[in-house]
Amino acid sequence: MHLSAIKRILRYLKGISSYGILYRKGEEVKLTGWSDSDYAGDVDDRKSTSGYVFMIGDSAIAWSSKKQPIVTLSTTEVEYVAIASCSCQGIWLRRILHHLNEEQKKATIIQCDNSSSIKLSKNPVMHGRCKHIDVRFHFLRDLAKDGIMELKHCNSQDQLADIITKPLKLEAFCKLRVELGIVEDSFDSR
Amino acid sequence: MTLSTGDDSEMFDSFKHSMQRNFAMTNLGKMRYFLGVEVKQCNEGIFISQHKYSTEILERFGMENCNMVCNPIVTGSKLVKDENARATDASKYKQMVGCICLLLKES
Repeated sequence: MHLSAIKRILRYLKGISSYGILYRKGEEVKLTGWSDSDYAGDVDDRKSTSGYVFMIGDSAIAWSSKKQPIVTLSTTEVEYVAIASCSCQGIWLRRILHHLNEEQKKATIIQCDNSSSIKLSKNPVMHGRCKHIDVRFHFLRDLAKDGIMELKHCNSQDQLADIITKPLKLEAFCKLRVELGIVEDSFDSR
Repeated sequence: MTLSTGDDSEMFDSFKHSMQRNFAMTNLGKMRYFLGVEVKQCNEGIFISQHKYSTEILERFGMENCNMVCNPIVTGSKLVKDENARATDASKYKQMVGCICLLLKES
């Protein structure tokens, strides 16, 4: 069963081997992050998969899809953990861009489709169901306060990071793939 | 190996020449292949891909002529252990997983 799954990946690879990412000229260097996760996607240990994508202009520059190290109890919590790891990458990317003389003056926007985890990051009240969330994930509040990261809500259909957390229907999969800047090679080198 | 970039072509050329005077190095021209990623500089911008390595993987497992599919996983499929099936070739499976992991890592 696992072997047939991996063979399917290879068959997919066959179709996509000439694809790549195009970084277009003259794009404004503005970093945007997208964070998403599934919920308890692993049927064996009920851990979730979180993923993030960072875009500059219309192309993806950094992405990750990783199983979370902890079991989470609610969709709010699972997204919250995902945003926390997304922010770590975001801070690092901001530093690199600063070195490259492309300082991000405004806060980096992280798009998330779970409004309650956005609220949790803004409101310091401890809610009964989130009491157990580890302190290490609360550094999001500080980042928002310091104007480094800003969480924004987006619709689930527009969530770019959806593609790396769960299997999608073909139509949605292809749509998101284009939006990540992935195109077939049809370019002549200069 | 050194990689250099710059937007001032005059300064870039003088840097290249001074490097070549002081160190034994050859100029390979524009970057085409770096850390497993193919790079193409075209009029539209910069295009990166992993065509070479993905073709190598397919050849290694004899799948260069397989029928292609449009997405990597069927929606709603769950990976669970099949108790009744006969054991598969574990080392081949691990090699496939390893190759795909490396492909993802390089990206």
